Amino acid sequence: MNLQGKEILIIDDNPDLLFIMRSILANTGATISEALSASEGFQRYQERAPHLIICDLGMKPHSGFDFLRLLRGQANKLPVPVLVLSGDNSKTSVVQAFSLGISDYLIKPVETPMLLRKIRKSLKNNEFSSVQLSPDKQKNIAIEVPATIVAASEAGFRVNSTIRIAPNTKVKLKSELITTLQLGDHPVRTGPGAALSLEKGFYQNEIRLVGVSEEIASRIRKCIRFWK
Amino acid sequence: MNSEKPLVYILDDDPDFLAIFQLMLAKLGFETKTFMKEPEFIEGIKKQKPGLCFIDINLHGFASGYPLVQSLHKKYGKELTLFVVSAQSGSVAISHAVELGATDYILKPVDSTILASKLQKFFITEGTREESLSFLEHPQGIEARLILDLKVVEVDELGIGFESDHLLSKGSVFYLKEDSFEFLKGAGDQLMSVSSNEAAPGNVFRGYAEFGSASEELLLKVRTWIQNNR
Repeated sequence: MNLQGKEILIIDDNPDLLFIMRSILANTGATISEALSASEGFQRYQERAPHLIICDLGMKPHSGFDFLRLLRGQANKLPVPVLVLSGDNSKTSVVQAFSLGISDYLIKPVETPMLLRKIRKSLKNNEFSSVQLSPDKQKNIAIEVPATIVAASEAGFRVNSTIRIAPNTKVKLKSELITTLQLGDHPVRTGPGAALSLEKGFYQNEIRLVGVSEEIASRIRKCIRFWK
Repeated sequence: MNSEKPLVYILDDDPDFLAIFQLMLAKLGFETKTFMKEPEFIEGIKKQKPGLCFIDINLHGFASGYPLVQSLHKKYGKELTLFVVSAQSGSVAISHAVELGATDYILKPVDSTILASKLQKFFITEGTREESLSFLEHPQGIEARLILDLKVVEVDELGIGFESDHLLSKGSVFYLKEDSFEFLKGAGDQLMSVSSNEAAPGNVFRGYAEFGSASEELLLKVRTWIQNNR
């Protein structure tokens, strides 16, 4: 079973059991983190953001139930899938654990194939969820797209790239040429027309210099005079 | 193309400049109407919207062109193309005009070749075609980066979901700057690979980009960030 890139947190107050679990999961590629108590388990959860938690119930001073309640908080479900692995096979405990939102309940001692099957199932049904940012948290970030300046005039540049920039958009152009021309801070934007479609997935964007003084125009002329 | 000459308005308090500029534009194939005072100019726009307006920034010795550009842009948006005309060549003044809604900035004294090149983007006339600048091609092309904004609407363990006015080809790459998110701090700029980008309602493109080569440490930071922001 390949669990590369997945992180599993195991919480049990018995160090021998932690050792056994680590050996069972050693070949799966998963990253394992461990905790010997419920409170340490919660701290690990916050630090490691695991994909799956395997948790014992009968721990002291805080039980596995205490951990589950803390993890769930005010939400109506657990934020991450939890497999309970416990020696307690009473109906009350099983019902209580499921009512707190666990994915599965395994009774100790558990056979390795069964444990691996349950782990795989829990991970498959519960991908680490994404965050849909609410409108107030959505943010504009600056990205840099690789491009090639293929032509220039005193009014601007023709730039090929895999992006088709919307008309009249304020952009920035970074290049050795721009540095040479001392235009790093000069405002540039795309023209009012659509970018030209080139071969599949490539576009030619016309990037215009806004306001060109005679000094800038002459700098550009000198620089591009040997181009074709 | 419409055979009528495109109409442009010019607002400037200098009669000499108006006369020269009007001649220049007429030569390029434009019909012009000139104004020396703001109220008449605003009234003129109300009566008939021109194809483009030139506004002097330093009207009557004050920088009163700026608020005018701002209010016209607020009122008419993309329906009215505003060119600022000024003798100030600093990039701060130019940026300010653009921020307020100017589409372009023409420097005094006006160079007719540059003016034609700029106008040709909006109206192709015999005059602009003859006068405008031709592009010179670089034999190999010069490496560059285009820097622009994307709106991030979703973060998951493998990448980001985004919205943008621009179309990024599927399979293309871009760099996500280190300072965009807390979880990238110390990890350097991330190479992202676009796995989808499609047109969505509202004239935007919705896409998804995966982290190119995320280390285990970065993945852990992303997961804890998601956990805290859920």
